Amino acid sequence: MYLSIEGVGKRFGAATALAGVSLALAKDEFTCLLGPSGCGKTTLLRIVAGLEEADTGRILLDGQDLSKVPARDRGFGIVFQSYSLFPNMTVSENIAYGLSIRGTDAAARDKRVRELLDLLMIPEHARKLPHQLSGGQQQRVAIARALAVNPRLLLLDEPLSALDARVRASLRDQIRDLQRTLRIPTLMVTHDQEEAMAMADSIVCMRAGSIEQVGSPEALYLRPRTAFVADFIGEMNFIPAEKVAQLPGPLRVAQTSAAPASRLGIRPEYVRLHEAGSHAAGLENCYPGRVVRSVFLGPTTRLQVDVGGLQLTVDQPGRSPLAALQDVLVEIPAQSLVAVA
Amino acid sequence: MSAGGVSSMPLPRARGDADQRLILGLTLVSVIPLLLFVAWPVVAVALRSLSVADGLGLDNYVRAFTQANFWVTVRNSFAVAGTVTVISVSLAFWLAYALHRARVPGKALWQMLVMIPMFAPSLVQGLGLIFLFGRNGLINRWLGLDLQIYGFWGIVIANILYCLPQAFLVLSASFSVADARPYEAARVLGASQRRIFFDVTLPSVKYGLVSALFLIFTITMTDFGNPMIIGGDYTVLASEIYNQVSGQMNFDLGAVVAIMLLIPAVLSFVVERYASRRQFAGVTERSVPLEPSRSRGFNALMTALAIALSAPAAIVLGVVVFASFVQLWPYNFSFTLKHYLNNTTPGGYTPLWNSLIVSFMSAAIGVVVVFAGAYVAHMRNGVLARTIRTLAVLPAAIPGMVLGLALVLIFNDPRNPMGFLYGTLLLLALGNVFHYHAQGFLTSSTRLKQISNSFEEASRCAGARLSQTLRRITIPLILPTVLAVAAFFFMRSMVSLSAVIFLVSAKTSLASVSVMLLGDVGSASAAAAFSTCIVATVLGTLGLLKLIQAWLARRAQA
Repeated sequence: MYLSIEGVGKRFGAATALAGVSLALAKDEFTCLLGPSGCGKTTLLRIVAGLEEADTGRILLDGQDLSKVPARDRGFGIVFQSYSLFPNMTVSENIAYGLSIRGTDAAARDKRVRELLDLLMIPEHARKLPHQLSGGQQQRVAIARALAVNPRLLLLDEPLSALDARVRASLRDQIRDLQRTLRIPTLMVTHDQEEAMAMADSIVCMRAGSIEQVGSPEALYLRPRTAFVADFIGEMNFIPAEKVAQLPGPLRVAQTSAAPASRLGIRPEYVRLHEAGSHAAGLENCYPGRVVRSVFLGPTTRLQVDVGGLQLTVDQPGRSPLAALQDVLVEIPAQSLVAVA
Repeated sequence: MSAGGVSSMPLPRARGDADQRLILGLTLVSVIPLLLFVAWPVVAVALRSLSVADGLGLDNYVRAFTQANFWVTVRNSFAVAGTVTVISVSLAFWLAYALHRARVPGKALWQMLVMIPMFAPSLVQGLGLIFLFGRNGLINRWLGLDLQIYGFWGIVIANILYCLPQAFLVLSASFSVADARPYEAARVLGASQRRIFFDVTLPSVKYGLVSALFLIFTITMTDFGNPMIIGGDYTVLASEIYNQVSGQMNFDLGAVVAIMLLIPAVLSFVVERYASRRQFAGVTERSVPLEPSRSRGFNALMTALAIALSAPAAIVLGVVVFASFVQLWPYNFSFTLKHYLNNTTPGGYTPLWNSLIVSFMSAAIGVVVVFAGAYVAHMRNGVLARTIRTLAVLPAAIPGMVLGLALVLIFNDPRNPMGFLYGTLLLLALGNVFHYHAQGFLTSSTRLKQISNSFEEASRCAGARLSQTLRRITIPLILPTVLAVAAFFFMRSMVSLSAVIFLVSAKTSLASVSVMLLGDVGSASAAAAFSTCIVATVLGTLGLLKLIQAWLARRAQA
């Protein structure tokens, strides 16, 4: 593995920020650290960057132990959430900063800066000062500055959080494409599950200083191992073990999990609704229920359905004809049920 | 950069612990002088006040306390400080209220007028009052009265004029951070203007008020210029130290009085710090700025108030400047330069040049020491940072005369290997730097805190050493503040009297000391001429600074 994080722990006074985290990243991979605020994801990124010192554990890059290597000698590129462009330097000077620190000659520096300005599609802003740029433009410059020195690792600390929704979506795709083209190993911190799903090859879902689950976006969405992951990434209907027995019929589960599961889960879009009294009555995992509420959201309609005291959230595409207080048949497909801890 | 195989660019190697060495160097630059010129002086004065023939004891205190006039002096000091504090803070409150809560035309002008006493030695107020109300004053001569300005009321009025801008600055800051929402809520709930004033306005500035009260109390308690010029036979603690030390060479009793002055100063400093920390706690990013009132009658009343309160200090200074250009105050008002040309002070204009040299030295040394300390305290945590922060603001609690006396005790001691500093302009500059260290340090710290940590971190990740980050990012960003702090040290050094009064000699006399000596011997017009030179120098420097700052701002925009 390219980057190995081995048992990294960190305390701030009495609070544990990281409780011995281990993680391995493949070269060329885009990895997202995902979790709610306070889960330790930013602390982990800062320890990797060398801006924070770990209390325990070590970090290896390509087999080299980074523990004694200060941040400035790690050769990483970093982009922060807040625009951290040097306000006293022009866009070009900002991008060239790492190169001029390394004593690169002026001609090579200019060439590299032009390359990056073109790559990030901001050549017209070369001579401007940061405060003359929009938020999205500033983050492009910050990314160019981080890339200028061919970093061994690109670190992104919530790089899109301060931008408005439209800019965020376009820059998100652009960063993703850039990373695929340049194949720079990248570690990004985010609290936005959609952002993580859209960008990452691999998502590390964190909670309270520990890793809950690591996997591809598909794996985390379709096969979450814990209720926390299931709930944090997308939405999930939970069916506790004791409620299964109360259902008006048997419930078959196709997936079996190795870990001890305390409940079953199904995503709202996988629950199927049929007309009451239709032929569906004989299907597997199909129970009579009643619509409690129906809210039209545009692309989907969100329904609240009561099945023998169990409340399920159901998403149907487009405008659903079902209204509140209508009786329905609720089908919970066995292959869509997951068992979570 | 097409393939992932491109290796990252190498950094120059083998730089050792350059960052550590830089921080260590800056730590030494800030801590050693703080220990030498802040911690040691306090200890030295305390020890001296306790020194007796055979070691340590309370004999000096007993001697002082049993002197008949000692308690009179203490009572006088508290009477003056109490009166000045109550009146000047009340006036400053209404002035700040008028300028912030009403639409006052010419607001900038009134704000500037009120600051005028800051640009002159404190005793200029006393001098101006003498020209107006003294035995040979305008009022007594023209109206044939026999008003007595010397004594309690003279000191009080002079100090009110001197303190008004400082109280105004503190209260102005309180008023300017107002949040409009509670005012709107109170109005919607049906509160009267009076209720709103007592229920919303007053509570929102209460910490500012407390802060101002204690600040002004300390300033008045420790002011020395005005009691010297206009006090007559009315003695206060500050003038008593001068009498003991300069008049009777009694350093032991001087030290006792210094401690008596230090105690209330430290107490009020502690309260002031506590209050000023609470000041801005209630203001959040969501606060909505308060729009001044639109009521015409209220605005007219407040404008009148603003003019009435900001004009007197300007008038008094104007009288001093005017008097310096007339033949014989108040009989012959024909123009003359004789008070400038026939300088009767020992050394002529040498003290003015000395003041300039000392002030430039103070500015240069002050900026380095203050920013080194603020930078180390900003970058480091723990005991070191706390020690620096405490020592750096402690001078705000040390009256200038106490510091000056302590420096004499320390550097005039033949056993001190640094005794060569005694009698030099450098020691005068150092005295000023550490007398005004707290304000300079707080300004620098505040500015450093405003600079996002991510600049420093981004620079570090890009491979920069601390020295490179400092040179290329931090210093360019703080440059305007560096200039402002340098100008602050320069201006304060030009007008300061109390910290240097014991340190000057015939060769190293300063302009403010000349004003005091001339005033003391009754050469009021010559003193006025000297004061005018000081004010002109200070205002000239301030103008130059504004030009440089404007130039820097324009260059940053280009």
